[in-house]
Amino acid sequence: MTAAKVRATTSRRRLVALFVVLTLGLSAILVRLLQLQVRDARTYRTLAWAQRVRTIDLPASRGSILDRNGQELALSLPARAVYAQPQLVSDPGGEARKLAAALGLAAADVRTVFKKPDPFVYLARGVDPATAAALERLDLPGIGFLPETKRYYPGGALAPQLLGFVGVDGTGLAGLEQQYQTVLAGRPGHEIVEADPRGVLIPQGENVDVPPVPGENLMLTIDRQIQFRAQASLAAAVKANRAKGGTIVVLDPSTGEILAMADFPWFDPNSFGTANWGAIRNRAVTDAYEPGSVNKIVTAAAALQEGFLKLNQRLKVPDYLQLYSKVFRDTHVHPLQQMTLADILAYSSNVGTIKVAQRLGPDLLYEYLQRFGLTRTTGLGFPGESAGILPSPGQWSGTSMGTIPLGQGIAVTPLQMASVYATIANGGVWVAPRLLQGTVGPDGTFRPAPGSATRRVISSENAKALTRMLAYAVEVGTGQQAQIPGYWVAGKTGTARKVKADGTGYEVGKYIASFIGFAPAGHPAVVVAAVLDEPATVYGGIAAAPLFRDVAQFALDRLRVPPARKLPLPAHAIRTNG
Amino acid sequence: MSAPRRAARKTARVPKRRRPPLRVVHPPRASGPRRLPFMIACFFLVGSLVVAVVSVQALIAQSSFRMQKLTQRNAELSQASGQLQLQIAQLSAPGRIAEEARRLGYALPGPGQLQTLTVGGRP
Repeated sequence: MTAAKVRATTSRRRLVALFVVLTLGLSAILVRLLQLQVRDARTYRTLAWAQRVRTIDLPASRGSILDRNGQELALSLPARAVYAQPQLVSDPGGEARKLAAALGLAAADVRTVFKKPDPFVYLARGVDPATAAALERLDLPGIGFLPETKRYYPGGALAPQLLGFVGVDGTGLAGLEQQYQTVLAGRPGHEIVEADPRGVLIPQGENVDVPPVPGENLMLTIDRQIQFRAQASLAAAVKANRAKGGTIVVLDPSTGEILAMADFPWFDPNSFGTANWGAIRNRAVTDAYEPGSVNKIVTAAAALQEGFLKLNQRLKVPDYLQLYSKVFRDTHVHPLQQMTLADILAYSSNVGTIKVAQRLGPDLLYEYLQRFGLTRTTGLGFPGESAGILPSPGQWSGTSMGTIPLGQGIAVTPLQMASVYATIANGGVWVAPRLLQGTVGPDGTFRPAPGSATRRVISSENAKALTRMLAYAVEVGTGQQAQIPGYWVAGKTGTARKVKADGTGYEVGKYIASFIGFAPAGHPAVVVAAVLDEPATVYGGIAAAPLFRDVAQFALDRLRVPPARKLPLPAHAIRTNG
Repeated sequence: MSAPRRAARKTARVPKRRRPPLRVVHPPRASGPRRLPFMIACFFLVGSLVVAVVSVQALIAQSSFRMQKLTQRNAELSQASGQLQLQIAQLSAPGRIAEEARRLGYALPGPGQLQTLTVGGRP
């Protein structure tokens, strides 16, 4: 074989070898490519996506709660939650010191958090964004931040039981915050962006923006000035009467709009965690109590409306009356007296009221208690609203015709009772009380709430007659301390024994004193229900009437209600004590 | 006689010519000046495209940074606005006003000290 032939053969072999090597190499690349691009494509795409693309949750701004004049009672601001991933914390001691100093925590507590086996632990919620930004700049390993909102109540303890409060996760836990959670909360959004490892957005990268939908603002019927004054007067009355607590409700009788509602003691919703459970309840709506003599108006209204008693008809009223085993007495000893219905109300005669109720009978009395709304909730929809307690006539005992007309053996909420007087003030038409005027959308559009349900309970003539009787009660009867200079006030006192918490009887020496009325009696602008729990002076006319006067007077001034000329007292009334 | 043989005889009869002397052959002159403008044009075209693409990318990147800064600024301003709104609500709260008024020696009018009068049918 010549040298040329040998060279040619070797060269061919090399070429073949190279071809084989290249083919194998390319085949390997092809196989790997198939693995990466076809078989594992989804996994790697997901990994790459997770590395570059970030989803940022955008919390929706919770709607504000405004008073009837648009003043903020509750509002939300952006905040940050600071969390730790303990296993990623590199310097527990140093980081704990820095975090504790910035967040106002104890360094030892933060170190304890770092020792937890949990993969995710919150260190602080509702942190001010500036503080969070300063912490973020420290770039502490294992420490992260999440956007959220924080609820503020700028008035402090102003209408706290009414407004309620919001948990750290932004959910309403009590009061209107709970009732209107879906309206206030809005809808959270999110943003999907593509960013480099330093967090700088990659232009033309993935960018999906789903903006959050802010919650709607609630515009209440509450007037924060009247609310504040009502609370200040209530606190002063509780203190002056050494009472355990108290409740005040102010409403507009023609619209059913609640202008103020408060319970003492109260709490600051900005720090609701430290509040007593008893102070959190909106007892004007959630707690039923035996109303006592303020309930006598229902018996009087029923008797007038059903024609069982004429305005000038006189009844012979002794100072005591026995019904089966129970003896009912008037508060003062007196000889047998001639009394009209006006006198019975004015002097709050128990015996006279029972005699009127006996003419009605249980069924009619029950029917009017129902018609005045004392057997169901007012329709306010407030969380935990009580319907009151009133047994049906079939369950009444022989003495029930003595107790129920006097407001015993029946339990109502202060709001229910205020609605009864609002019905008289409104010419005999019951109007469902309401707290919401409407909602204000993110675009500023006001949407009024549906109007209140109404129903006629008694005729306007009978309502006017009852108004005069109630004004008579304030003028010469038990409610004289409720008089407001320049205004004609109508109202009724109430004193009721306090039922034991377990419902097994009455507490010894413990009473609930109340005064419910309206002014001006000729053209009622406000109804005020003042209730004091266990006052030292048990009579509603002494303990609660001054509270009514203070609040009603302020409300009349605030609403620019001019003084009205006093109308003549009921001609049929007999000034038994005068 | 076959055709191939005739062709062979004919060839044999052709007298041998003398080989011409070698000389330098210059490339055609016209081809040089024609390509240069084309190359320059291509260079400028490609160059301008590259510059345009880079500029557009730079502008986009710049806009992205600007947008990021503006978004951040927007968030900061919203936060500041919210804080001011809260401050106004806290400062105008009736409790604070009452406390401040008390501190300055003011008191609410007593019974009968404030009267709403009706003028022209309106209070």
